[in-house]
Amino acid sequence: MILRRLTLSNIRAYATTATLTFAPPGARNTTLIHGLNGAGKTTLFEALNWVLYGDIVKYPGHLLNESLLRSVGEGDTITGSVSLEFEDAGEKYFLSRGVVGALTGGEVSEKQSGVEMYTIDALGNSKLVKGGDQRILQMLPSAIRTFFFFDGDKIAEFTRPGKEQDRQITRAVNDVLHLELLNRASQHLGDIARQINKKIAERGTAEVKDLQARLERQLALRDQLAENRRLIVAELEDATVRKGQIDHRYRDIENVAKQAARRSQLETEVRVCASRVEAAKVGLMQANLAAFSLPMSGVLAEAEDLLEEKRKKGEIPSDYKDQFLLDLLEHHRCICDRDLRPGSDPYIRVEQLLQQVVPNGLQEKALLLHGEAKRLLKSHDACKAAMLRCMSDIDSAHKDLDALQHELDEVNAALGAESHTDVLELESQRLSLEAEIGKHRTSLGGLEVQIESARAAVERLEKEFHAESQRQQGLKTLTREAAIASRAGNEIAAIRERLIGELRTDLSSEATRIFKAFTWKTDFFERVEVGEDYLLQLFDVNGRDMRGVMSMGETQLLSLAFILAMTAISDHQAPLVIDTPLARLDRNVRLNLAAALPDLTSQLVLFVTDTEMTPEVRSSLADRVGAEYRLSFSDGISQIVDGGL
Amino acid sequence: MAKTVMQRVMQMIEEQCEVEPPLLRRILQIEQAYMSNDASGAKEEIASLIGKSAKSTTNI
Repeated sequence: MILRRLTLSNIRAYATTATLTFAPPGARNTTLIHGLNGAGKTTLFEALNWVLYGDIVKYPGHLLNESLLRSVGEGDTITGSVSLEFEDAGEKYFLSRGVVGALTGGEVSEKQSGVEMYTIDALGNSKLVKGGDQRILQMLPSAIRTFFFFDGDKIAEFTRPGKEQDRQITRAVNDVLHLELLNRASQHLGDIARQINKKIAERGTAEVKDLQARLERQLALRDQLAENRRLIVAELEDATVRKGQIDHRYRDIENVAKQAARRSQLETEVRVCASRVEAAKVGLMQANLAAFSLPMSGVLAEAEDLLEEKRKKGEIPSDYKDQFLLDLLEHHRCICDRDLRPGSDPYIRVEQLLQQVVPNGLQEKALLLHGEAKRLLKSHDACKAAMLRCMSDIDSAHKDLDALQHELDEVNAALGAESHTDVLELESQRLSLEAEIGKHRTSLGGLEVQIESARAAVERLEKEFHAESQRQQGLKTLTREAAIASRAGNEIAAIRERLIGELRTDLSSEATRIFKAFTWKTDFFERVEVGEDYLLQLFDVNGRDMRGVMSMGETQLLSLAFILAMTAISDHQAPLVIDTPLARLDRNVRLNLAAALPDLTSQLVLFVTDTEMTPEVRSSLADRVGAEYRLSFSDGISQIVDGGL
Repeated sequence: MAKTVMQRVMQMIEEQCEVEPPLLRRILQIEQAYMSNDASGAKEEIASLIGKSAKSTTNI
């Protein structure tokens, strides 16, 4: 199938007519549709699914534009439609579905019409195709569209299936690879053989009846054993995944132990570093105290010079002169016997002299301080160097301390986030799961033997039954019919088994190749394997099953690798249409994916958000884009704007 | 060019089946035609085909 043109009219946010012409297969096979969230990408994706299959896959609700619906008068109707032009097996087709909205009794209702399908010949003449729905399902069965038209947000379901998704995926894979066809054929042939056997028994002898009854029992036993095997395989698969998760928890615990040891070491280092800071601070304080005296030394030197000058002028007596003057004033008589009565001129002069005297001991103190200041001046350079060294030590110790504290915080956070798992409990669970796995494997081995034995018994009984019924007149043709149906059924079942084996190997190999092309952890991941029932398994280089421990991006990538491997192996030719394919992927994977996707399909249609559409992604896709559209949204109306290509 | 899945199936039918390949191919064609239809129709048509084949076959 090759998509040519999609046209919407009055559908959801597209209140008028909007047309999208897809890039054809070839070097520029990619159609890029981008816009903000809510601009109308998903409506286009929905419209494509609806016109082909008549169902809404993502957002149920009214198909018609809500504003138009609300404007409908009582008894009036409005219409909307989606049409698709496409090619399949060299034929051109036009497909259309309509919807009519009406307001009746205040209630809005919608009625969807069936599909109209036409072939278009080279001259442009159209011819109605009857049973359009069936024709589309023959071209691309609905179950298969999971692999061609998919929502990027939901593809992780391929890797983390629940029971229902599990069945859906199995069904879809069976359809894509024609396994369902073979399955139905062998089942139908088996049913036909049984029905004929019953007819034979009804008309046959007692011995024939007995053989048919035994054969029927043996067939029932064989089918029951096959069903048991399927259930045990599912349980084995489940137990293996759970054991893998426990092993992962063990690795977490191992990591916790390492983190705890590192925390202890970091705490010691933080203490040592904090001591370094304290020691440096003490050193700085001492250097500061020493340095504090430095500015004082200049003042003291100036004071000494002043004293010296005054001494020379005889203005400042020594301490002895000071005492001498006091004695003179006390005795009111000079040593030359001159009278020094208070109020006399000599008395006043002596008093003035005494007032100019520096207080007791100050002179010595000033001298002492000056001496000390001189000593400090000599150690000025050493003091400055010490201060700088201390400051540098403090700075360095602070940096180390910050780094250690940061690491310690991270370790604490990591340890805090870890739930305190009881290792013994885990060990107990693991042992129990190992026992369960062992038991399932033993059961499977035993079942395989029983199934083989039941098959042989069915074959033997069938031969006996047919040989016996062949002898009876009137049953020969019926017996031949039963034998042909049974043998044809068995042979188709055998082909199916062989094909499943081959396809699983091919799928695993292709999915591994694609996954490794996308991931940046190429040295870490070893291979993808498609297990029984097509459950995906991803193994690391040590052979460990990584399911359940992958990131969301890796899960999405694994699913995408599986889908692309399926489309590569499938006989169905269909475009790959992906809504928001890159949302959960990191930068490297986005770029790998953008570069690789166009080569993995004949026609690629990408609905991407503006956030996904980084300049790097655009650059990766640039040479492959054949059509580009930007979706604009204003006043509640979406429009498709030509992107310029 | 790699074989399609159906080509592989057809090759296996030619190589390993004792039942006549044209009959098996026809059975699969009928199934394919009914894949998106009521499967019981396929069963009836195959039963009829087997009946015709049995009438025209002497050996089983």
